[in-house]
Amino acid sequence: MTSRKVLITGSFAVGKTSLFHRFVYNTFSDQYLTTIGVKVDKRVVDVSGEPLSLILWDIAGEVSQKKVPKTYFLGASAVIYVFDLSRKQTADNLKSDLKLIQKILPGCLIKVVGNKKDLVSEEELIILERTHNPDFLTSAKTGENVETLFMEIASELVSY
Amino acid sequence: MPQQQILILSRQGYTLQADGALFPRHWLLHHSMRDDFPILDSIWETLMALPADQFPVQFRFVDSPHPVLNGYYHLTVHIVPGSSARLRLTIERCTFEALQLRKALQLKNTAALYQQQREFTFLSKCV
Repeated sequence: MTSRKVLITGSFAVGKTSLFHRFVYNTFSDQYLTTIGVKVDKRVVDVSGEPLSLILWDIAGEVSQKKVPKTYFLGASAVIYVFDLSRKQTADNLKSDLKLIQKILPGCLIKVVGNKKDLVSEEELIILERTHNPDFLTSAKTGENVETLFMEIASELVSY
Repeated sequence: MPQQQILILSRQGYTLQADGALFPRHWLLHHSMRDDFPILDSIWETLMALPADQFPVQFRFVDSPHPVLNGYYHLTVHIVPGSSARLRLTIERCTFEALQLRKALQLKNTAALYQQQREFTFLSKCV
């Protein structure tokens, strides 16, 4: 079976682990528990009738990607960069972080995700979308767009 | 409690030599470490193609890296000198150290999170 590594990164407390749990185990917890190091697990998805194993790396949050150990990027096919829609500071380093990721992993599929959609108003969402231009707006709490995010990544990785 | 295991792995991920007692010896005979460790599976091809000078590759504080390994472990992969097709995997238990670190980080991040949330609420009300 074909497998692909997907790295979930971003600042602390933006909901990386919640997205990971929502997609892999379909669970959610309101309690914030800091991630240290890395947790890896996989889910097999069906893409056009073919199974694809998405191996997800949920890593400790860092304010800047410069602080993320380079070995975490090893062999990654896709990177999900998560920021918190309800904390603007978590997108402060977005541009420089994306530049760094593109330098470490040239040609890698990168998706920018604004998470915690359930915590902001429609008006705020419009402004945030215009400012940061995320690929997806998700809520790990309600599950909104989480499946779509990972399935789109899976489809793009198959045709990559 | 056994704290560490060193395994010499073949190109397919099977154990050729083992030292330590995290895994039962008979079990090691029949399992590919590549297949059983999702973290290794996801980077195996990359590891095999990695230039010798880029080893060792280390992953610190890996949470439950294997179905029978609960807690936290440091994983280090070396290339076996004289044989680029073999890897030496060191698995070192570090759960106590990890929990201490998490406790400290939890306090630091929760304080920063609270501060950032306050700023957001304040700014929203000002606008």
